[in-house]
Amino acid sequence: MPSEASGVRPTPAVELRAVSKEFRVQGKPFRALDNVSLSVAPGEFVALIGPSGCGKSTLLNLVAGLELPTAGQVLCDGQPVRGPGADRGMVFQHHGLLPWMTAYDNVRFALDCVLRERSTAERDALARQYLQLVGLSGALHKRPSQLSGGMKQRVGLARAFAANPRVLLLDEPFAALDALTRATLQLALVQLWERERKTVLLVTHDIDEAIFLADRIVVFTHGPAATIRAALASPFPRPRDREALLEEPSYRALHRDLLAMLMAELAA
Amino acid sequence: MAQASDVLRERLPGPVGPTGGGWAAWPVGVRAAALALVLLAVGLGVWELLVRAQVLLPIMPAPSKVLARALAMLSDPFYVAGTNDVGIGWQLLSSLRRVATGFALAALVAVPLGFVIGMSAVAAKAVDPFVQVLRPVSPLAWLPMGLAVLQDSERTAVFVIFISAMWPIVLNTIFGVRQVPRTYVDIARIYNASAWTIIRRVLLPGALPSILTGLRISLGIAWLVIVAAEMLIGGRGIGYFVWNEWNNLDIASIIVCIGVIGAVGLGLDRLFGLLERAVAYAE
Repeated sequence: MPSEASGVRPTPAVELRAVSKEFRVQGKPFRALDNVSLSVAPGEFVALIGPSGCGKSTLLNLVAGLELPTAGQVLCDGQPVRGPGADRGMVFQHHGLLPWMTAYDNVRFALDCVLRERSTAERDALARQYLQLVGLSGALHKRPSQLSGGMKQRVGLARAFAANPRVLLLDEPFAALDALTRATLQLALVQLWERERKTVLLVTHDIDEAIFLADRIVVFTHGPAATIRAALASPFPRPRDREALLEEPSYRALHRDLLAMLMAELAA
Repeated sequence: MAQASDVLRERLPGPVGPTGGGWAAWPVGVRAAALALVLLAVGLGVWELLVRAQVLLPIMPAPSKVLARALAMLSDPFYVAGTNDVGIGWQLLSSLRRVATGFALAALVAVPLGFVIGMSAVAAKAVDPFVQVLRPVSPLAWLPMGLAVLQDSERTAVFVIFISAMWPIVLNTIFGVRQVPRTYVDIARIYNASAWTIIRRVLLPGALPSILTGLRISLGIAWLVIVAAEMLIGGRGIGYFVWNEWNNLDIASIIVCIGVIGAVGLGLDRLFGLLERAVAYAE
């Protein structure tokens, strides 16, 4: 990594400077995040893990611009975040698709909003192309209620990538899926990401998922007033092979360190 | 008894299997239809017997007489023999026209109003006490005010229907907008959708099933209220027609009207039931 002094360090794709976020819960202030600083390089894949309710999702909402910080600054490409923008896309865990629209219409809706200057034919082609990339060409006109949990999240990924954001925010996108579906969805995500190398912030509580997908894993302390406990690199070369990875002693060491940190947070 | 054991079998858990044919072997729908016919026959039979035994007042007609009157009234519903002597079809159309006008005006006002209120937590809280106080008031209480302000019985009837239909639509629209999950709005916000796009493509389709429920309830109430309102304001209409037949001591006509009012109300309800289903969505 280039040193600070050399001055060639690129502007972070996402930067949080001493960010705190408070909510009012039943009239009382609740501090979800406390003094969080984080810098994510362009094209970097960062996983955020921590105990439930530690404010990881709040952090994503802050980067997305859906919420504004109580203190500190959130920057995207060096610009302060003042609200949602087409440069950031998001995949949600629940209610991620509009249920009255088909898979195709859900993707088209995003493209119609983001790519207003493009022609209808281009938006149509893009929607079809990304649904095909996630293997859903046969389910274009199905509504979410007719899709399995895994297929719904595929539509969510297709929509997020099709809108071509610079930063992708994934809020526990695979948490509600069974292990096998989760593994295939992780592969689908990796393939899309290898294709386009977007900056990714992934919230998860699955250690294996974090190691397999991310370049860097940021561990949060338990909430309220959660902050960053540690950041560990997941230095394995890509493309990664899940089974080979499991055999790797350094993988097991990293897994053990992360688990120990999470257990310590739960006990604290 | 076969029926008793049948009831037990429906209520109690236990093995369900062939029971040797007979009544229990028929499908539920067929058995229900048969039971309904039996109930109808028993009801009519008791009624006919009471009339023949002269237990009831002499003005109470026998079912056979009511049936004959129904055939007469429904075979020529659109005759015109004078200003107020017209067929039941015309009476119904007058009532339906008032209901349609008042209901349409109420929907035009209440849906946008409910939408605006539903989008703002402050507005919803601020308006709530007014709605809560006005909602339990019988729409007929507004009738004298309508007469005083509008000075016209026709417009007053429409006004009363407007008031009747107003509250269920407002309340259901507010509820519909407020129950749209926040994530749905966030999806649109993430993609920089304009406020108008969020209203049109997220909040409206999300709230539509609830709005339709409100419209359906309102129409049912409007159809209840129009009969009473017309009795008070007079003129042409099914409500006044019923009142007029009472003045003529013609109970057979009144009973036919009750059946017709019920059938039209059912038809309206089913129509909106279909619309409701058309806009429904599953999560």
